[in-house]
Amino acid sequence: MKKILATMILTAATFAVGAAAAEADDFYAGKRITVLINYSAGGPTDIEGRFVMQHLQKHIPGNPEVIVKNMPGAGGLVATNYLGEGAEKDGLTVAYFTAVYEYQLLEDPALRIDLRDLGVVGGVQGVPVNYIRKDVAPGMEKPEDIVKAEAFLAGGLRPTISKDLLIRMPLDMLGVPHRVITGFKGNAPARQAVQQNEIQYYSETLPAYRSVVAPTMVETGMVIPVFSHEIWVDGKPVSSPDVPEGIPTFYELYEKVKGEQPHGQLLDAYNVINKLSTNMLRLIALPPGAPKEALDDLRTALKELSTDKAFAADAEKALKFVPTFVIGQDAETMLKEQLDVDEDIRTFLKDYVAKAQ
Amino acid sequence: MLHALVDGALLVLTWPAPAYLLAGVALGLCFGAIPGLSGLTGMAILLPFTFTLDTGSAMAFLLGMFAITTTSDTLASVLLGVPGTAASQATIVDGYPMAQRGEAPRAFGAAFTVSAVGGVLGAIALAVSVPVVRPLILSFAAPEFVMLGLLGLTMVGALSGRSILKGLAAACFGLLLSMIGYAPQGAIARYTFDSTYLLDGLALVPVVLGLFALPEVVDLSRHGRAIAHQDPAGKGSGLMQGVADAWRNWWLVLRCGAIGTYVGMLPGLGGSVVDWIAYGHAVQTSKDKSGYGKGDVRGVIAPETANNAAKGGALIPTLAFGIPGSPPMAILLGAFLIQGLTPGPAMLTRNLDVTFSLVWILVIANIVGALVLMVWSKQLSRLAYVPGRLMVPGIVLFVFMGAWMTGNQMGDWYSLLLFGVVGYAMKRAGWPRPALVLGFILGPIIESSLHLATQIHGYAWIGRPVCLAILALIVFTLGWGAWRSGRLRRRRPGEPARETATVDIEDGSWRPLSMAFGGLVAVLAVAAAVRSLDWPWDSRFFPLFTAAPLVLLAAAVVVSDWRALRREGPPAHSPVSWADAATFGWLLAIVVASYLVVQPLVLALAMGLYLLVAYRTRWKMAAAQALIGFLVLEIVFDRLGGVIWQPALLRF
Repeated sequence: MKKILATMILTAATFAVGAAAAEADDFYAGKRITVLINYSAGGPTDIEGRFVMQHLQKHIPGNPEVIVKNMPGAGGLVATNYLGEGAEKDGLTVAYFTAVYEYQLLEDPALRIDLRDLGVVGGVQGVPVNYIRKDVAPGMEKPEDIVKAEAFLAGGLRPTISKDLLIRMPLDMLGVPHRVITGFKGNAPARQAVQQNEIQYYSETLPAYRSVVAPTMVETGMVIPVFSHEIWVDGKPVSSPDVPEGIPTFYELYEKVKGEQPHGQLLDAYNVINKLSTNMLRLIALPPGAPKEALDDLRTALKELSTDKAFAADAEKALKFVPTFVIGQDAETMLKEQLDVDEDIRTFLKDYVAKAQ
Repeated sequence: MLHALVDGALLVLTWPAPAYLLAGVALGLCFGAIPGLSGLTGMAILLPFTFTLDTGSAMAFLLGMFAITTTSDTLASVLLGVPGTAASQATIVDGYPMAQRGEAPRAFGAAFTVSAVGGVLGAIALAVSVPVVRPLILSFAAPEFVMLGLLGLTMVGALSGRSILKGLAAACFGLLLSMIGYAPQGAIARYTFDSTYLLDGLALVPVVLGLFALPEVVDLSRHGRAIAHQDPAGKGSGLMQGVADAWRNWWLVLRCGAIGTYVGMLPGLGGSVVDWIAYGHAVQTSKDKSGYGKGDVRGVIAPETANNAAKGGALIPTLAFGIPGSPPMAILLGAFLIQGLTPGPAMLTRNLDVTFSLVWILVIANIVGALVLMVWSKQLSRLAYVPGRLMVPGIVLFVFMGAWMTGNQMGDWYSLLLFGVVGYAMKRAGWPRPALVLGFILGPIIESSLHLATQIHGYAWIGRPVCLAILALIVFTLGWGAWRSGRLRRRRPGEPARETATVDIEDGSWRPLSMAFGGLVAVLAVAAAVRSLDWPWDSRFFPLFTAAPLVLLAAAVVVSDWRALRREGPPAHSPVSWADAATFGWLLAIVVASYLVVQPLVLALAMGLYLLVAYRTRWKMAAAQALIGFLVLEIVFDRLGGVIWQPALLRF
């Protein structure tokens, strides 16, 4: 009897050890990941980040527990600096950030870390759609009408951030008479100012465009969409499949109204900003020097997530769009290529920003 | 319309929505009562749970929680002198003195009654404003906000107490402090001294906690008596007395309900200013002002009505235009979208039943929440009779965590301590702290709106009809105030006082300290003005035009104090003691130690040590309190609140 019991215990123990060993192979088995978000709870970054990371968790080998922490401040810089300087490098802190590439491009000392040092898991696309009030003289009915516009005011948040640059640059290339009023405290106040006809032109990323701008302003006949920013696939500028029908990309609009492809130094600078900020609006990353196993596991999980049907269905329901990812090495390459910018372009960008101040 | 009203009610009353509503209310009571957690934290934590709920339940859960945080935040404001959330700062000014007099139950009775009434008023406003809301909100753009901000500044008189000069100086100082960080057009970072923390400017919560809560901690620690240590002012001091007070002041309640609703409705003014505006309004319109600052129940009624009413108001632009006026509203908007509801005209037509269901949620949550608190408040009020030094560690825990939860950075703690010292000096010197806070809150609103208004319209915006109307209101407010104080001055001595203009916002008036503080402020103002000369005009304008009068006002305070000092002779005894310095030293030690060891451990140990040294308790008792503190930090703040601790040098 004793023998049988002993055998049973031994067998059970062997199984337990075996199971533990199998799990221990996975870097994240039995661990807890803290997702760090660089904007406050409830904002677009936060809602998207919580949603994506919740689903990503199921694909991470070892199924770690995932909790979310917000660290807002200074336009996302506080958490970005923290990721490079203070966060534990054990692979258990994962950032889901609205990236601050422009600070590195403009060599702003407020950004104290080099974004190229981060362990890049991937990027998440965020395509902005620009819209204009229909009652801008002589009347805006279709996107091409913008070149006929007599004069209007465009909104902005702060002259040094990519949001403002992506609003200013295309308008300057199109050569339409406008002024940029910068200093709005966020998208909601700027959107309100468009509704009040204090400004006439603004830009918002697809989720906000589709869920708020379209029903409250496009469908009520107040504004029309003008163009969306292009994404880059295989070295070519194309429209994101999530953009509603009938909205051209900037390249398409430019060609239609000017009869030629956009070109020149302003375009080169625009492409640098746009390739980063639109293709990889959000950055999923580990602190510099995090374990390679962790990075590999997360990249694999993100790759699986990008083809997960259930995730797509849930995202369509909850976020009103399905996040498109730039994964692993691709994201890292894109980040490094664009941040290793020519000095000419960097100087041009700095001058261009200074002109707005 | 009536149909939608009934459908809305059905949406809330269909199982399982009522269960979620009650759960939401229960959570909301906790989030409001614990300083450091707020409706915003609650929204962020609860949002993911609503992904899978039906519309009625999701809304009942979130809004039921959110509606009630401004009711339960009164507990900490009155009992501890620590604002439970940013929306009940003004409640401290009279609520805490009431607790000191042993009238905490009365304050609670009044506050909970008017919170419920205010919440219901806000809900009714939401319901009836549905057809007329569009022009109301769209006519308030940047130019109108400049004027509203200026109108708000006229409250300084009401918040100044005995010395209007000190009040104006304090308000200017607050305005100047609010200039720290990026200028409104965002290119120049002002007075940041290369610190990333200051790029966004000083955060409101650490500043307010420092100004109001830390000086009370210092005093409690010094005299060691229970919070309630003064004799009751006579009459009733119980819960029912407070309820009666609320009904007797029904007209004030109605007005503050309206103020709350409108301030809440205008996106960007926000919950942190509504309580001050209501408080200022109550003082301005009261005939007998003598009790304010010493525990006048009207000083509790006004802000507590307004901060609940503001929530109904805030829903209006969120629903009708998709413009969330505050971060919690942005989360609620997110919840709408997840439920497949799009904001905009449809909320007033096709989805009107959902809109009305929100009205019902607000009404039910506000009433249920207030009733629950009424029942509990008797037990909670006993905290006011616990010996002061036994209370200090717990209060300090919540004050430190309240500040830390703002941005999870050491900067929040430095800011807390610095403004603790400033608040302490102002309290002793008779400089009105509420005036400083008012300037601090209104500064950015005025500056950024002014920047946008002049960018868009040049100077033509001044002629806009709504601007002119508000301007008339400003002139009227100032003129009326001047006329009343003039009439008071003309009264001959001996004639019976029919009204008293003096408000005791601050009890101290130690002139040497007041002069020193005034001198320091004047020097800072000069330095700020000099620093601003390098900047482009639009970044320099506001600091310069705040600093210039501040120098004059601060100098005038110094001169008038000096004259008074010569007249009165040197003060008998100094209200500043080494015990106070020791308390500040203890607080500073907590901050410094947090660089070395992880914060929950530091705070818990600091609690235990304080009890051992200052309260001379047995070590077992101290260890028990430290353990409780540690568990609160780990469970409430770490697990629930999602706090990020300072990376400690010594890691285990």
